[in-house]
Amino acid sequence: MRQKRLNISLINTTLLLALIVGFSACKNKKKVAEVSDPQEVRDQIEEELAEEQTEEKEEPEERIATKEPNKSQKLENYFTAIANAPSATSANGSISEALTMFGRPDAPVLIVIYRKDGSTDYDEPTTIKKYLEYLKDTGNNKAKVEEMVLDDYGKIKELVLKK
Amino acid sequence: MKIFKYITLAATLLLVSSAFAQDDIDPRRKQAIDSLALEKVKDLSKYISIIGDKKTQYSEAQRVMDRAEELFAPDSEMGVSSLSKEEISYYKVRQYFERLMALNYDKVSIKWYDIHYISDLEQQPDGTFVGVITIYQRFEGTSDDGMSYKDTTKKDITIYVKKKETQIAGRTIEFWDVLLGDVRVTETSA
Amino acid sequence: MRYGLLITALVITFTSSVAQRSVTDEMKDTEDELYASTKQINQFFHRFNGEEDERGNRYYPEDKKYRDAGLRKKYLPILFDTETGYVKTETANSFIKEVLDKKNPVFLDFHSGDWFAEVNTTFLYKGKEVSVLLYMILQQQGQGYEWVIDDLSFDPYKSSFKKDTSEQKMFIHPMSHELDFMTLRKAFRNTQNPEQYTSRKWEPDYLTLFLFEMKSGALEFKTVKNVKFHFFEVDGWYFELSNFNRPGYNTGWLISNLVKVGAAEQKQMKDYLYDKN
Repeated sequence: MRQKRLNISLINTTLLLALIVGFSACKNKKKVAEVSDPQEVRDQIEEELAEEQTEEKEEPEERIATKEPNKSQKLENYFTAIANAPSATSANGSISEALTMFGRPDAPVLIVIYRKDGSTDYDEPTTIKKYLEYLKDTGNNKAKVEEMVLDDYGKIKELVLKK
Repeated sequence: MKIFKYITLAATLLLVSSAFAQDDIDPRRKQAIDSLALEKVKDLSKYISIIGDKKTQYSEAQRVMDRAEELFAPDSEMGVSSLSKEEISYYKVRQYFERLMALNYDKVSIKWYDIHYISDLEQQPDGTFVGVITIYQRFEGTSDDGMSYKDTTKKDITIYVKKKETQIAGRTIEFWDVLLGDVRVTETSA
Repeated sequence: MRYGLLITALVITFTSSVAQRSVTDEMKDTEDELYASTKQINQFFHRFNGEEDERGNRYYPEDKKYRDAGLRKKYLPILFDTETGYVKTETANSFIKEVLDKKNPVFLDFHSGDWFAEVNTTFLYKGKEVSVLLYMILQQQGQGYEWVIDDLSFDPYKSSFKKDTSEQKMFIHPMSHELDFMTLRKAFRNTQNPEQYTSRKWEPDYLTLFLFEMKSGALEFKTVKNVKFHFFEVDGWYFELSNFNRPGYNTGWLISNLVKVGAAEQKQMKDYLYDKN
C-alpha cells in the first residue's frame, strides 16, 4: 500500500514537475519566440515611434501671439538706442542687451508691409540678430512691434513688426 | 453645339486677356512695395556713404560691402559715365565699391538728395516685376593739399520684385523679395 | 518767353518746404532743378498723361486729378526741348491743342507698340570699332514684355549690296535650263555682285547677317553710346525723344523733334528713321 502511495505521489510529483517544466518551457518558448526575431521587434518599435511623431506633426504647434505692451516698449527702446547709437561699440552693447529678451539670436522676425482683406504682405523674413545689426548699419528704425510669441520662460521666440 | 464653341472661345479669350493684364498689383499694394524697394535703395545709399567715408575702418568697410552686395541680384553691374568721359565704363558691383573705398582723398563727403522717382513695375516674361528707381548723389572729395573734386550723379537703379515663400516655425509665409540690379550712373550738369 | 514763365511757375511749385538734414543749401537750389527734370521715360509718359503730381507721386484712376486736363495743360509745354530751337513753338502749340482736345484727348500707352528705340552702339568688327544702330521694340512675351531687336543700320552692310537693275545688267540666259544651268559657271565667276542674279523681290536682311556675324565672332558688342526714341502714337504726328543732360530746368527726356505726318507719309518717315533710303 505504502509503495503504491509512494508510487502515486512520485507519479504526481513527476507529473507536477513535468507540468511546471512544460509551462515554463512554453512561457520560455513564448519569450524566446518574442525575442527570437530582434529585427522584427526593432521594426515594430520604430514604427510605433514614427506613428507617434506623425501624430505630433498632425497636431500643429499652437501659435499664441500676444501684444505684450511692456515688452514691446522695452524692445522698441532698444531699437531706438541701436539706430541712434553714437558709436559701433555703443550699438553692439545695446544689441547684446536686446538679445537677452529672446530665446535665441536666430529667433524669426516677420515684418508686415501691407494688409488688406485679411491677406498680409511681408518683407523678407529675417532673424532678430540680423535685424538689430541692420538697425545699427542703416539707422532705419521705421518698424514698430506688433505682436510676439513667447516661450515657456517668457523669452521672445517669434517677433512680428509692422512698417 | 455652335454656342458651346463660342462660349469656349469667349472664355479662352477672357483667360488670355487676363493673363496679359498689366499691373497685376493694385495701387495701394504697389505703394507698399515701392516703399520697400525705396528702403533697399536708401540702405544702399547708407552703405555707400559708410564705404566711401575715410574714417571707416578697413574691416568695417569690408563687412558693409558684404551687406551692400547682398542687396543685389547676381551679376549686377554699374555702368558709369561722366561729363568729361561720356563713354560708359562697366564695373561689377563689388568692384565699384572697392574703387570707391580706394579713392585718394583725405576727406570724402557723400550726401543724397531727398528726391527720388519710382517707375511703374513692369512684368518680365518670367513673371518677375522689374522697375527703376532714380536718385541723386552729391560727392565731394578733398585732399589735404587743397585739391578738391565735386560732382552730382544720377543713379538709375533696377529693382526686381517677386513673391516668394518660406517656412517660419512650421508656417508658410509669403513675402515680397526685392533685389537691386544693374545701376546706370551718369554725372549730371546740375 | 512763355515757356520760361511756365517753367518758373513749376519751379516754385516744386520747391520743397521740408528742411532736409542731409542736404546743404547749395543742394537745395539744385534739388528744384532735379524735380523739374523728366528723369525717366516712364515719367515722360506719366507727365504727358497727367498721371502724377509735381513731386512725381502717382495719381491713380480713383484720384480726382488723374488725367486732369488742367494738369496736362501745365505739364505738356515743359516736355519739349526749348533750348536748341529744333522744335518750333507754333508746331508744339498745335500738337498740344490736338492732344488736349476736349472730345478726344490723346494719351500715350507704354504697351501700344507705336514707339521704338534707336540705340547707337559700338561693336568691334573684325578688330575695328564701328557704330551699329539697333532699332528695338517692346514685345509681349510669356507673362510680360521684353525689348527685342527689330532691325538695324550698319554702314558696311549698306555698301555691300548693290544690285544692278539697268538694261546692261548681267544675266543667266533664258535657255539655261536646256544645258543643266551650265551658265552658272560664267555667272558666278563674277563674285563681286552675285546679287544681280536674284529675283526682283529680293532685299537683303541685315539683321540676319548681323546675327550670323555675331555668332561667328566677327562682331563683338562693346557699349551703348546713346539712345533716342521715336513715337508714332499720336495720330498725324511724329515726335522724337532725346535725353538732355545740361544745367537748368529744361532737362531729362524731352521732345527733341516734332513733325506733322499724314497717314501716307508715315511709312516714308519710318523708312527714313530706319535708314532704309
